[in-house]
Amino acid sequence: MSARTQGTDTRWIAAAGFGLLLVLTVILARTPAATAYEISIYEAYDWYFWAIACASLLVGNVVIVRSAAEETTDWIYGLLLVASVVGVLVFLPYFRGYEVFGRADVLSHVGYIRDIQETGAVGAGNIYPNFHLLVLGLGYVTGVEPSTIIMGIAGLGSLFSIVSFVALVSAVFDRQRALLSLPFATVLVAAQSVPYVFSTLLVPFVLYLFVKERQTRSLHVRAALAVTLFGLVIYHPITSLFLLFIFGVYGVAQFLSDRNLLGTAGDRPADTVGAVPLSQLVVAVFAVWYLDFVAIVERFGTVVENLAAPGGVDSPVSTYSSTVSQYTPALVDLVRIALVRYGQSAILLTIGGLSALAFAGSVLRKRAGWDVYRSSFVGLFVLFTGLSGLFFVFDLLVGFGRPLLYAELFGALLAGSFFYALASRTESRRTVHSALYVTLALLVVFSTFGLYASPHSVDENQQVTRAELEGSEWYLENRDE
Amino acid sequence: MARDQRRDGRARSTVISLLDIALVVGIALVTYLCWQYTAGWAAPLRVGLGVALVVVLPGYVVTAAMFPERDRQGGSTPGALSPLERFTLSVGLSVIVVPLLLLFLNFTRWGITPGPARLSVLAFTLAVGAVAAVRRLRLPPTHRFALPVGQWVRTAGSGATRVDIVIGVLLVLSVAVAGSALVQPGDSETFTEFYLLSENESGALVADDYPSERNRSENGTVHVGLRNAEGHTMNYTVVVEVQEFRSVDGERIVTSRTELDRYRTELQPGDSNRTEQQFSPPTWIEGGRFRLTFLLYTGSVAENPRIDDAYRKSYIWVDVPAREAGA
Repeated sequence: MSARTQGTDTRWIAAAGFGLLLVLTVILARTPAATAYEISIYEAYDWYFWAIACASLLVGNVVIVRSAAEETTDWIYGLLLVASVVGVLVFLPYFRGYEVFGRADVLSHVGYIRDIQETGAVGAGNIYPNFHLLVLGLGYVTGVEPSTIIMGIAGLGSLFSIVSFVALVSAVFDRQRALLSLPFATVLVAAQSVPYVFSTLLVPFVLYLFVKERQTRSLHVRAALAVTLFGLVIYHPITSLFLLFIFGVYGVAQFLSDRNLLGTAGDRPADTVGAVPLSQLVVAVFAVWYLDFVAIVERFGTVVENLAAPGGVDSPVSTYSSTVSQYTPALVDLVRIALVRYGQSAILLTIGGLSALAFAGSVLRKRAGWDVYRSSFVGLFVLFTGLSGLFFVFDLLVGFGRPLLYAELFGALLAGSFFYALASRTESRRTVHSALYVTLALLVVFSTFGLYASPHSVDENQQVTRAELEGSEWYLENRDE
Repeated sequence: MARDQRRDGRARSTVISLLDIALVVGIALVTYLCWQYTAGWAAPLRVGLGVALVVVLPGYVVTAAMFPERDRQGGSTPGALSPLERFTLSVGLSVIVVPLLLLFLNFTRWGITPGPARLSVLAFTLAVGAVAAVRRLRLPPTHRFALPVGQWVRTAGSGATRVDIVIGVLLVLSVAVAGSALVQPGDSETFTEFYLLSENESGALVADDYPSERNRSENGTVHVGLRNAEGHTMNYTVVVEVQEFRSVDGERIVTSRTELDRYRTELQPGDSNRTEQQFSPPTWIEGGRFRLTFLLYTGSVAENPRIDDAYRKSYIWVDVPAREAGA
């Protein structure tokens, strides 16, 4: 079969995927909005809605993978299909007609935004003003209530994270590796609109700017990176702290590469790091600024205490184990919960782990083929996986989920190269592609059903009803002060 | 003649190379007009253009000012951008720059209020757009960035295959259907407020200090509130009962009940009323605790009203001192 015929076939597969997308939107339009609190958004639509969503995501990914092999531009259709379906999924709270989506944290941030609305100023205790100002800016310009706007912020960030992931892998990898990485771009998709999640969704963009700055040494890109890092600190300082780790590991990888210790001499990028980059300086200054906050200093105190007395009762691992031993749930329930909550993580950590092993093997055998960026990604994957494990076992600064997100991101960035290496070293390319499709199918299912809190993950829907909001308002108006 | 043609060519080249910036300025100004007209039909337009003004345009003009040269074609020009990179930078820099602009307002006498916030985003977009235009015009015409409009037209005209058209139609239909689902009238959530208030020392009605202890000879008062947020006229029935319980294996079982009152009321959408309800402990209470229960029904009332079959319910617990011996 000629490449052109194959390309046309692939495009017809994409057309079938867009047909599924149309069916998906028709189901959306025909399903009435929520009239009251619904405990699970997954039960608001029939099973076939979710099946079609997963199928169309998988079709989009298949188109991208086929396009990588056929050397066509059909991947654009696949990416468009994936982004469209993700767009439907992340904006579901709007389609359900929810008043607000997100309890606890999200409602606190709605409160912070109201404070700015009423006073015209950012309060002294507000350490995430950028997130609030973005929501408020959108509210002011569109005339929509910020409590409605905030529901879509994570969706907006998710779509942007996919686009910037594409820009990043295009800048770092060759065409094949980049395209094979694309199906993993949905790794950061999230529905919870809070500053940390949103700032994390910006990380692929920061990494893209960083790589671009390294490659071009352009003053303009450097200025854009500096402004972005400045803004990111005010979005969420912990994200800046993790970026410091990222830049640090890159520096180490570059140092080792310069001394031919990574076996990278064959394809080292043309640029080399000179003095400490501007980006690191900016982040370091603001990390110091952030450490000035009393709450963080106190948390560091807790870290020290927990490290001195390991196995603290509040660590996630002890919480999980005591819950399991107390309620002795059925094994099938445990497996279901684990898959919905951590299925995506397990897949990406497995791929990342295998990539790290391959990297270690290459270094030991002094084989070329790993450039500084991929070496950095391996280092960062190992670092953040290690941090996740540490935060899982001990009650430290933040929950283990935060570094785990980064471990998943770097696992996703390595995935394309991993499958590329497999395909180029095995005789049966079809087997590798089949393995890739199975992996992607599992990833699509786990990420779709793990997107929203639901009883599947022993959680409840984050919908806040108008009745609840008006009830709270009623109580505040009628309480005896 | 030749000079005129050259001049026309230069003018056309200038127009094409500034088309995107003109588009940005146009969108920004139309958004400004939408702020002035608050008519219902302008709302979707205001939302669509407003999102673009905050999330894309400021970053787009910053990117245009930073990279005035032609986009990379096949990776031949180091430092230039691909269309994907230009879009990524536009969105990324917008979500960074806009909050910083508003943060800047925090330190001015205007504060972060709607008018200055909108104008600052608008002014920034227009000002940086002007810088981008100047920087682009300083380059030779062949080096300037320009939207590849001609290429798009050629692709749409002759390069599109049948499958491309199918995909395009399906995508447009999907967006239209999803868009129509989003703009359908909201307020699908309906409910009725049903609550109790008591009078505090200053005579104000508050959701606090409910009567918690009464002697047999002593009357208590609560106020029953209703508000219709169902979206249509409602006929309500309120049943007031005194219920006594005993506990069997940890479960409460109603042992006796007395209906104190029952009344009906009709409320228009959005209307509310409050009814004063007086009560005193029934004579059969020996002492202990009873539950003053208010049950709200929207249709027919069951023969034996129960808390489980009511549309809404509310209650308070009231203690009654035990009878003295011989009394």
